[in-house]
Amino acid sequence: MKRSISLLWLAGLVRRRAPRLAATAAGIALAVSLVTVLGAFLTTSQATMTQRARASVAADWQVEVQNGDPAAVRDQLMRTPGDAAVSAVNYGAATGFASATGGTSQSTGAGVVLGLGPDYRATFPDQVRQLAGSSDGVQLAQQTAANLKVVPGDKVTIRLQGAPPVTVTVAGVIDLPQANSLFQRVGASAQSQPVAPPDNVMLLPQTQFSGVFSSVPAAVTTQFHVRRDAPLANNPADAFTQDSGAARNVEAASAGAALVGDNLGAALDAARGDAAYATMLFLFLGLPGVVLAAMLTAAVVGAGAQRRRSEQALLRIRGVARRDVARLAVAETTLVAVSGSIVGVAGAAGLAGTALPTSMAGSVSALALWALVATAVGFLVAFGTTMVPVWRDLRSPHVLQVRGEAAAARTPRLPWWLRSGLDIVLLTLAGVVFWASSGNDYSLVLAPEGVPTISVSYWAFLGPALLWLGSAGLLTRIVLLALRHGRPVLEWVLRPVSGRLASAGSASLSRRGPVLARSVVLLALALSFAGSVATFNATYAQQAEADALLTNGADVTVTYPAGVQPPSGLDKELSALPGVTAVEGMQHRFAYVGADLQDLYGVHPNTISSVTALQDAYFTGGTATEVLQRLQARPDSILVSAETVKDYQLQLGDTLRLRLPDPNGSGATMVTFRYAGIVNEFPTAPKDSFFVANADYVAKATGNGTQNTYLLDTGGANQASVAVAARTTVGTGAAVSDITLVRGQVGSSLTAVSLDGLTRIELGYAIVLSVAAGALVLGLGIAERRRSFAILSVLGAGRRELSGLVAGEGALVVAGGIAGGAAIGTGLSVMLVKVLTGVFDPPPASIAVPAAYLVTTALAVAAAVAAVTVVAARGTSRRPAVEELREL
Amino acid sequence: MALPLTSEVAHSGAGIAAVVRCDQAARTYGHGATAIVAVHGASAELRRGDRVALVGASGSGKSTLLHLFAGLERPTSGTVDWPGLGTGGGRSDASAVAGVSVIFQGPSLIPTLDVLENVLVPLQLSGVPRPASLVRASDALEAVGISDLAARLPDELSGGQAQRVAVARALATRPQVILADEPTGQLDSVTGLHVIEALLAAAERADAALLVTTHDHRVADRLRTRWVMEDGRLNTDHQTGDHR
Repeated sequence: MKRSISLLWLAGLVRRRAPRLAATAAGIALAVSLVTVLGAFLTTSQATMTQRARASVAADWQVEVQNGDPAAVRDQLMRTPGDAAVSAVNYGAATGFASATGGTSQSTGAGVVLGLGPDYRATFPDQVRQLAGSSDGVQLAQQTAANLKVVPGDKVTIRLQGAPPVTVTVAGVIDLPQANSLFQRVGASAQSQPVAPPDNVMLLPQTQFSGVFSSVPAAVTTQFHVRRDAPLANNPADAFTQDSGAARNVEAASAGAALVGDNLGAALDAARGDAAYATMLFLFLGLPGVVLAAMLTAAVVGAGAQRRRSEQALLRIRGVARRDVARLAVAETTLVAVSGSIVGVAGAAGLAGTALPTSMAGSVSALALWALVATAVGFLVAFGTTMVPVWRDLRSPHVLQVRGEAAAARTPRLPWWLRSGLDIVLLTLAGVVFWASSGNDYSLVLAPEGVPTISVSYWAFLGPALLWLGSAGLLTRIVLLALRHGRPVLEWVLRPVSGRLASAGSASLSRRGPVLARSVVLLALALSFAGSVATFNATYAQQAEADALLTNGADVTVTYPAGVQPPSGLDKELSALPGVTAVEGMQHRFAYVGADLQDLYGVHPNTISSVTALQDAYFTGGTATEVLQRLQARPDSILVSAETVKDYQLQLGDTLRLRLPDPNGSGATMVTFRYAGIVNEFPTAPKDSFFVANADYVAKATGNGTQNTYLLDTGGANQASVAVAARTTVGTGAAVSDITLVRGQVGSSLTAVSLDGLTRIELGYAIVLSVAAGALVLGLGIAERRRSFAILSVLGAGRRELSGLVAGEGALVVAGGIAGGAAIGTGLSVMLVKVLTGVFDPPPASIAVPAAYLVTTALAVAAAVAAVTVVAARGTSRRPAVEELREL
Repeated sequence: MALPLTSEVAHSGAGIAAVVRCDQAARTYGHGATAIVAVHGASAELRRGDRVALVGASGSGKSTLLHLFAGLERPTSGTVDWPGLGTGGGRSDASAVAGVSVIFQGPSLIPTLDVLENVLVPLQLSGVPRPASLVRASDALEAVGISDLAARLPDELSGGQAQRVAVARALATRPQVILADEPTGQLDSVTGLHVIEALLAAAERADAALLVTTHDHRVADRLRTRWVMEDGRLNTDHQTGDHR
């Protein structure tokens, strides 16, 4: 019986209150689809990070044999679960290499000779890149070949400690893309690793290596390079734990005979920090959207609250028990929750197919998992927004009087939480938290190298959350006070559009303060969400580009090995290439500060900015322009990294004496500089410590002005074709790279994942939420007041006057919402970019404002509200007023 | 202060011009086989001073005829005209004819306006200057005895008080015709009679014709003339003897 009443009730609702049900379900659908898509994005992003980390290493493990039997270590590795391939690599120390070509003799300092098995290059294809000659036989690293001035077919002598030199014939020239890990000190901490890989490297077939080093076995160490195929968890943090555990297990099982250099673990170690950042992004950028969707649903439910109360009151008057009234409300809520969840999940599946990368769209399991989570969220939103007010009403011992429309407030008072100044308190707290979390020592995500745990500072959420809440409160206060005290102004504003209804209209608007304030605040929050997300994403894109530019130096970069003299007039040749707009030569040398060897870049302060973008954030103690002017004005000035300044307690103006090794390896020159500022980042420079100095001064002080790096500006276009032309010009003697290739390689795995998909989803939802906040709530509010419009119509109000009244309300909501949204969005954007600074590499000097998107969003909201206004205005006059009055 | 209740004097209506006149006015909803005839060719006149109770069962067409008299609906055949009333320039098709005030059965006050503002609305829409409209609205509230409620919001009124405000709103426009559609339909009998007294007093004060639709005989008995609607057909031959 009760079941049939519920069904009857639902059928009636569907027939008579379909728009209200649909709007409520739409709000739930928005929340459900947003959670599903963002959740799937998070899961698949993390899986992508793990995959990329795995793909980024040439050899997963480098297991070094420690005073044991190599064969036993090999057997153990072969038995280790998850080891797909094991290949032996011998490392032999040479005192140097020598060559005699073109009538001159060349020699190098100490070098390393590797002995590789015949299957090595096939098993680890990313370890060695063939640049010239045959891959069979003796291979020389590019820089070594350049130093020795040899080409395939030439002979090179290997000098050994305690054994006669051996001469071999070079078969090919190679590049070692992962030289850092290949020549790592296995088992040593990151701080104890070599500053740079060896300059001189030769690869020998293993049989030939054995012959060369047979008389000096002490100069040889043996490693086994391992390719793993053990399945890894999607999350980089879990994958790191799995991998490092397996590596430690090998070491323990070998009883000290093997030490594992865990390249895969190191890559996953780096990726897990990025995964934590991805989670933070998900929460920072996704949660507000879900909260907004819930608020929107609550507003929709609220718009029909009085009618619902009336219906429930009628039911109770007719003897329906409270429990049964509640049961009907539960049935209605379940209907909208189920329909909203179905639409939301279906929408998310559709979005995943279009807005996300293919790899993500294919992740059905991730979608399914998050669909379940999102459905739970949808039910929570549905029951929270619908059942709570119902439960509150039903608790009242009195049946509420049946009214047609929402009650008005005599003099809209500020709610208690505003009277107590909670909004001001929240904003003050937001400022304090922001100040505390933007300090130099603050780190959002802390993933100490090698330590399995990651520390994520969830306190960071507090600042933006408090700002959001406080701003919403302050805006509510402003709107309520403006409506209460601004009736004459409202009447003056309404007069041109609503004519003789202006006075009544202003009084009505004034008394509807709480409802209007809610609409304005909801729209403002939706717009601020759109604005802050768009600004964050634009800034992220800006910094990703800056990162690529930092890494590559310029659109196209030509780099000669240290000690190699580029041909004279090269800059002119490069300038003449089609598409090149500017060329800038730069010295790349090394300098000792104390015992530390650091990179030193000699630049022309006046012209360096013509080929690369130098952001103010790259320097401390002045803008980029100011710092470069210092280098120009006083040529002995030098810019030093913050770490060096701290280590050596440098003060501005201090004298700094650096020992600059000659690029040709023939001694060093002591040069006196004056410390003039801190450099944090510089094009082509490493992440750690380095110097930037005036190129002319360095040339004069050392007698060597060789510029071995050329930065080419192409105006941001045709970089690939210019790079091809540059390669033709410089031949194999120099490396040529362009920014289009670097974009896909640089930065963390987070930037590599790309926020494009997330951006599209976020910005799309932000517009939908903004439009819905502006139009839906206004439209439903107007629909609920049809009786008032019908009465006004009977009393003599014309279509123009009624339309003017509706338009005035719409304009008020839009103007307040856009103004409030702009203010809150600006504050939130600044805070978001600052709090999430760790996501950016390099940190942004200024936020990027996506003006086109923001204007589009504002216009979309205005257009939607205008459309609702027009439709509502037509609705007020479409049917005879008496028909409206009969029905309402 | 409320006006003393006045006794309605019997009059024949001879020599007084009609303010509302319908001639074979009919109103049909829908078309073809589903068409419903709410009013069949009704012919009647209302003159100043008339006190008419339009009685009939629910769905007999009382409200539709009242709407035709008010100009809120147009007859599908026949004519309705308002000789002697203004043309109502500037008023919309949905508005009542100028000089005609309508009181509805349910809540008819704007909930976001207080009592005084509700009474002011039709005056402002008629273009009455603000100082004059304030005086007229205050007078009307005093006339129906609720001037002390001027600052209250509709939600703070009882059903009877709300209907009195509606009467005051009708009175303030100085109408020549007052049409009340079941004004006591949602009120208890005592309150309903008070509202009827207020209506009669207002009509007396405005020297207006008063037509009240009702199916409550106690209400109908307060009015001199009784018209009966039955299945959409109007019978104007009934007279009551219980009026004052």
